[in-house]
Amino acid sequence: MNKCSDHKETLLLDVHGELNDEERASWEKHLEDCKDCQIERKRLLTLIQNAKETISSSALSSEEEQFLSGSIQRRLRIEKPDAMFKGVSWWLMPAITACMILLVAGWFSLKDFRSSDNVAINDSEEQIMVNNEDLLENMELLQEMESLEKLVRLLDDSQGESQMNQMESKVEFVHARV
Amino acid sequence: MQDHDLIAKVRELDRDALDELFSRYMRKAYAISFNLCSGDREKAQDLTQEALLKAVRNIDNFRGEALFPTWLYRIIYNTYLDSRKKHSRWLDIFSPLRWKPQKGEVDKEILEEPPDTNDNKNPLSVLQGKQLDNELQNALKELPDKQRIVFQFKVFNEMSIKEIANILNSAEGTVKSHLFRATKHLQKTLGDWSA
Repeated sequence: MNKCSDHKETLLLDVHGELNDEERASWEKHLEDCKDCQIERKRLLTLIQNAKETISSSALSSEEEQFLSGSIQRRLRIEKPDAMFKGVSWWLMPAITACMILLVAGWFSLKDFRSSDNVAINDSEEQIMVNNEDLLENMELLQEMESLEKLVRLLDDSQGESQMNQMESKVEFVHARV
Repeated sequence: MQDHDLIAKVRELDRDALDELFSRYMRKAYAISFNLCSGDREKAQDLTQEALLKAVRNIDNFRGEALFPTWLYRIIYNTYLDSRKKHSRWLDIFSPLRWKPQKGEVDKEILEEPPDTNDNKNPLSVLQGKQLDNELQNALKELPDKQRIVFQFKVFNEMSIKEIANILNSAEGTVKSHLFRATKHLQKTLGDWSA
């Protein structure tokens, strides 16, 4: 017959319901003859049974269950608002977000660029307007300047004619001497 | 519907399938969390919520090598370990302010709990029940974490040694050793209970 110390592990496996058929047959044979093991087995079974009965109820009420289920689903909905992203790996999301930000930023910068073109066009138009106004204001002066210019040209022409006459007379004189 | 069919539907973001999955495993998940959190209902609810959320987020990683409940309970256990690590970091930071109850001091939580208004219960038996529960919780708290968890999984959650080994990612022999040590410790601490 085996000693009780050889059955220590078997005893613990038995009280925790973990013996297989083969182990059980040999253990029950020992148990029939061993009073100490019978007492120890009974003590351990009582301890485990008392512990099971004493531990506070861990049951979840149906309201608590619904609340938990609802809050989990809400959190999941926040993470996955639409089935649109089904099949898209979640690590791609930052890349997609970055692309969208770039697109929006690109749109705004393009808008700015267009508006700066318009400003340039407006600027040149304004400048022409200002120039025209200057012209109108100085019209009299310009007219005076024009008449002065004509006068100078006339003088130049009359001087030129007299010089030409002089040159012609000199040429005639030279021809005569020759 | 079998678990694997249900999981396939959850992967397709089927809300009814998700409801069904929760109704199958929420209570068991909570019971495990409740024991891991030493009977703190609020912490147990938080742990259940976090673990189920992680399970649904990572449902694509479930390859079916283990049973779905085993995979889920492993997530609960790992989430519990993570929260303990965070908690111990906080305790390290505020350790000078920490107050430790002296050995043998009565747990104030029992005295401060509101009385049970159920008239059918004998107040004496209610008090005795609470005292016994407190004794058991204190005895369990004295155990190293792994021994306590193995005992709770085995006795209160009625898991097999093989299942516990899978959840804790340990050898069956190691789980047996933890279980036997925990049983012996409780027998020694709660001697009167064996009578």
